[in-house]
Amino acid sequence: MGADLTTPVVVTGLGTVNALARSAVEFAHELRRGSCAIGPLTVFDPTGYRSRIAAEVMPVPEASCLPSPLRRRASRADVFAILAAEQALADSGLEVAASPHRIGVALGGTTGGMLRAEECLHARIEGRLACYRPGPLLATPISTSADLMASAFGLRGPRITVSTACSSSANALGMALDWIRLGRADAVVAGGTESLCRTIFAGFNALHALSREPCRPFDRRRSGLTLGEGAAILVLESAESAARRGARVHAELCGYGASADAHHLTAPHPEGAGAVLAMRRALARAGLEPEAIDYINAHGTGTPLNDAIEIAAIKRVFGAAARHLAVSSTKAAVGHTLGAAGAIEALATVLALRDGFLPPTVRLEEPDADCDLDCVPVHSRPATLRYALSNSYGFGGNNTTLVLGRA
Amino acid sequence: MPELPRVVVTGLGVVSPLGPLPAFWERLCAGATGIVPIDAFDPGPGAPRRGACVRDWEPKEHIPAAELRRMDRFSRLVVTACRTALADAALALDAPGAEATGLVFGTAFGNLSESEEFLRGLFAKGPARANPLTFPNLVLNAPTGYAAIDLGLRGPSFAITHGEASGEAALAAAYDTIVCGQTQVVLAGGGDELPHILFQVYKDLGVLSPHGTTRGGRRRVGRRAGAVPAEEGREWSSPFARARNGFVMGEGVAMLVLESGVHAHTRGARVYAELVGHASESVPSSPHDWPHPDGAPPVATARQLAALGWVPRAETSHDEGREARADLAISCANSTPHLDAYESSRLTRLLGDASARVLVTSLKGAIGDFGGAGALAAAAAVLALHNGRVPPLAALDEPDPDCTLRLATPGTASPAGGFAHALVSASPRGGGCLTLLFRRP
Repeated sequence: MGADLTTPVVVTGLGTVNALARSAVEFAHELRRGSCAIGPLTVFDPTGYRSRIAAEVMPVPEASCLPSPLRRRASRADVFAILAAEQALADSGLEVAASPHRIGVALGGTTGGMLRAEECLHARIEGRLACYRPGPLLATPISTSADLMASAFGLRGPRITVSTACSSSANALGMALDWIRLGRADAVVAGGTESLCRTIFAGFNALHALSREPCRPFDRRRSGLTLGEGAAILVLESAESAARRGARVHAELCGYGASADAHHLTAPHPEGAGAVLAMRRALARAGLEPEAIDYINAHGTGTPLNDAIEIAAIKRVFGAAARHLAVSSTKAAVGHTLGAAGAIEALATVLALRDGFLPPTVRLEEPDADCDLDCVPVHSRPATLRYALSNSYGFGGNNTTLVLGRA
Repeated sequence: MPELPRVVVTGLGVVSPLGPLPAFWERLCAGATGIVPIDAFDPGPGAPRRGACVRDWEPKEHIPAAELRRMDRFSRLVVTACRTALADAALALDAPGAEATGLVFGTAFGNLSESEEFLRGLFAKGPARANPLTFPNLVLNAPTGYAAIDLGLRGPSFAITHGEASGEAALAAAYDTIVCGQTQVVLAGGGDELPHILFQVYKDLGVLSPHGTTRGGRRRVGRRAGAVPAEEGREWSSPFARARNGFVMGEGVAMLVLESGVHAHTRGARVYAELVGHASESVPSSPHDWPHPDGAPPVATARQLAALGWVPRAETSHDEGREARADLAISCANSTPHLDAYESSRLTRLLGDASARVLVTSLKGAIGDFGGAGALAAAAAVLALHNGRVPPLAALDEPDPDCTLRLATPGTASPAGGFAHALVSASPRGGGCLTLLFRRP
């Protein structure tokens, strides 16, 4: 139970609900096939938006594991999180009841129950008091999903919710890693969840950040991002605990690095200063040289600025070794899921390491001269991977890089 | 295996309903309250109409005009607290120092006022007219983003949200960031605003004083928005009082400069207190309510505190110190029947044999309640250790007879030998309980 900052931490459970898949098995299959789940926006009325597409989870499966009073109050984001956690816990085979205090919850998210809160606020503003309930407005706190998860599965260890915009769940995974190393928990149910909502859609719309066509990261014609929704949950566990109970190990989480840009609230630092720091810190904490890395699951949003700066940052960190790297963006397949993106992409990276393939950048047809690395266009490829990074950069200038390794 | 670094507190920055430091602390110890009639917005017909609003704060005095223009009010509060904390710590950051310095901030709701404003605009005028300048301010990490820009900080930067324990959770995460060796210095704390929309929702729910009297914490769901209730009681905040009747909303921000002991020692910094560590335990609870007072005892918390060297003994042993010192516990009790009953039960069971030498207080009578309030409680704990004084439960006339804790009433004298340890106890809705442990250096 003591602290050991060198103790290996492994991934023993996987779960996801996203536009592409309803389970990790399905997700691996669809990533290999090079599928794209972006379609028309239907979660709310798309009238008036520049872009009317999204990567939606439709229909939303029922969270049957929740008792009915909780199920009624659960937001869309809560449901995604609960379903992904249920899968991940089942996959891990963890017996929660045996040591509930040794299992924590670490989640990332940015808007929580905002979708329903918007409807309530609208009803209140328009004086439609019959439709107005204050409850959902109070369920907006992003921490509700983690609270619900702890309650639903009886997890009594430490609990935290990180909200650093699009790097939220990458940070949640990083903190979970630290908890295990500090002896705060033997296992942590960690990841992120996000539901589409008007606030975010309208905000990105107003910033001209949304693409009218499904996003095309690293493509010459890329014109913005496509929003998505969903959740991914990883069960992180000390290697010792996993070995003791003979658990299947999907991959290892070797380290993470976080930084701030200290530059601008929405625009990335022009030289990718924060992105470089995050990658360097992550590699240092994992005790790895850049040459050890085979694959990077990029932040790769498909905005003109992000992709060019991210590739330049990768080149700065990797130097000549960048030529041997594969770099892809799974956002072209599942959209940009904001607070869940770090976790969904960590999951994609775990699957790539475990199953030996490179997830493609599905709609990359005309590579940009500024993005002249191997960006795995259109089709997935078999590959033997030892170590990989997953990059997540958020509004507010928050950057996080995870280092994952094959089991 | 090498020992984990010690973490010490070397600077404090506060923006609060009692003013900044040192006024915040002086007024707190004098038993003053920051609860006043709300004038930032129209609180509507009938009670509640009071709140603990930030006072004596002029952002222009702290933040350059060019930066102020873009910054929302919430970020201004946070940046002010960051700047004053750094100044208090006399920590001048050179370029490599700033690049390594971390920032961890906890908030339950973030910038809710502008979220509401943004949505009102969206509903009224449609997506094409949504304000692109407001939108970036709505993310919970906007304040840390602005603070990082203002101070040039490029270390690990996190916004944490954990309901009513967001401030404590941020300090806990910052502590972990240092002991894991990610960085040597972190500006850490939390806070929230008192937004109109949240006031309105709490009012509709009937949880604010004087209407939050239902002991089971049940909501008056379905109360008509804006309806004037028939009875009007006393609108106040008095944690642990027999006649407590709901909480009063407050606002404020506190930031603490946390440093590794070695870093603070090397630069010869004044050390207020040591953050010895934290204990976390999830208590079974509905995600929407506080844990039940008769629920599971905080055994895991007690175990974790013991591992940090704090055991509930009736007296400090001789080999531990030259003089027997008291301990202090700052509770999150907020004058809500249900929460205070839970906190009373939790602390009674946690303190055990030490109950007699641990003074218990809460700041909520003075600053109201809000998501990041725990950061102000942490600042108060640090100051109590530093100068041996106890901020009393100023409004407490008649304690709840069910509460057997040693409450710091207005007449309670501060212990002659000061305090050895201070606990900050947080029990948020949803049961993700956290306890911070500070020690006199």
